[in-house]
Amino acid sequence: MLLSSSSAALDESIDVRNAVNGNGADVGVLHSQQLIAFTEAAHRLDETLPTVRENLIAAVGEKGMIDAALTTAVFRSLNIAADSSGIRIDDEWEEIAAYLAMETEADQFSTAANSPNIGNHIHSIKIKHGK
Amino acid sequence: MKPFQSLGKRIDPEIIESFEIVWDHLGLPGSWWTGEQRIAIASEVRKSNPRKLWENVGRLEDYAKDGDEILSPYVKAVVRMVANETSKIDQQVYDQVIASIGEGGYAELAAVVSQIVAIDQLCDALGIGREKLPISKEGKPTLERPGELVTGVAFLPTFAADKLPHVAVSLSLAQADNARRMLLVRAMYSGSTFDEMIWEHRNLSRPQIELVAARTSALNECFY
Repeated sequence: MLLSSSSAALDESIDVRNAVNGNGADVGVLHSQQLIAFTEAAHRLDETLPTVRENLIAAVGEKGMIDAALTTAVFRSLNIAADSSGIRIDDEWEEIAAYLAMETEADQFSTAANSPNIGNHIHSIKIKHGK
Repeated sequence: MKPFQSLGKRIDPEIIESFEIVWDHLGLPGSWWTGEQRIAIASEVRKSNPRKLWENVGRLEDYAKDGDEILSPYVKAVVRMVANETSKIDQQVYDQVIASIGEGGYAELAAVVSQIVAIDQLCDALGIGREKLPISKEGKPTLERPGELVTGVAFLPTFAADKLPHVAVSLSLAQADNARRMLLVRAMYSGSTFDEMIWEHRNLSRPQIELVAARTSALNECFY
């Protein structure tokens, strides 16, 4: 959601599906491939991480790489808080979450069951668009 | 030497300060766990990370609920599931866990896990050593349960969200640890400008930050 909104604020058009599931090419965010590769390697903590980190530093600088590291670390923590507690999507975010779920297939995650209203929103969107 | 000095020249002082606050409280008695147990929870998170692809907790009911160690095999398994397989926690798993360790114990355990993961994951991503865990302090848990909790936001009872996102109150049953967890979020991510779509306080643009955030959440299969 915030990826779409913040890109729109900068008059940038982004490919959300690719951002979430693809290799980052042509997402519409500067240096997206290096950022995605770093996020993936930091998640796996595998042997590619040092090289991928250097590639990201070459693209966005040392401070930019540290920002990416801070973000992936704190979002893993936020994901743990969200899914261990079983929170549902906030009421005001449900409709946009439904649109994005259709775009990215995130509604296939088992944790989507914590937000049962999203399924209803997806159904309404499909009817609205004759799908 | 104060903790996190090795990060000091590379990371904003506000972030270091938030890490120090977490470290200052990690080994103290909480509301539901002793200091020794809280450090054992943090230690179990570390032992399970990085996780090998073939390592899975499996069925929680297969783990013994008694034992001679600081944490039972069952509680260790809950820690590993919260840390590494969070998306497997559904209403049924949650009901089973709280029947054993209670809502408060579970909320505090998850809040401790979320704090240690944020800090350790940063060190791992930067390729620097993890900070040594603090020494635990003696004392009994306070058994303090906050009042005015509501249902309907999460499996767990929480504070009413009011104008806050649900994730901010998700573990508010463990009030003090939830506050420290959110202190990390503010320092490491949002600052005081969460609602603004153009950020100037970070070295990456907001869309670049949100790209990393979106991919991280997808990797963790977090729908929220």
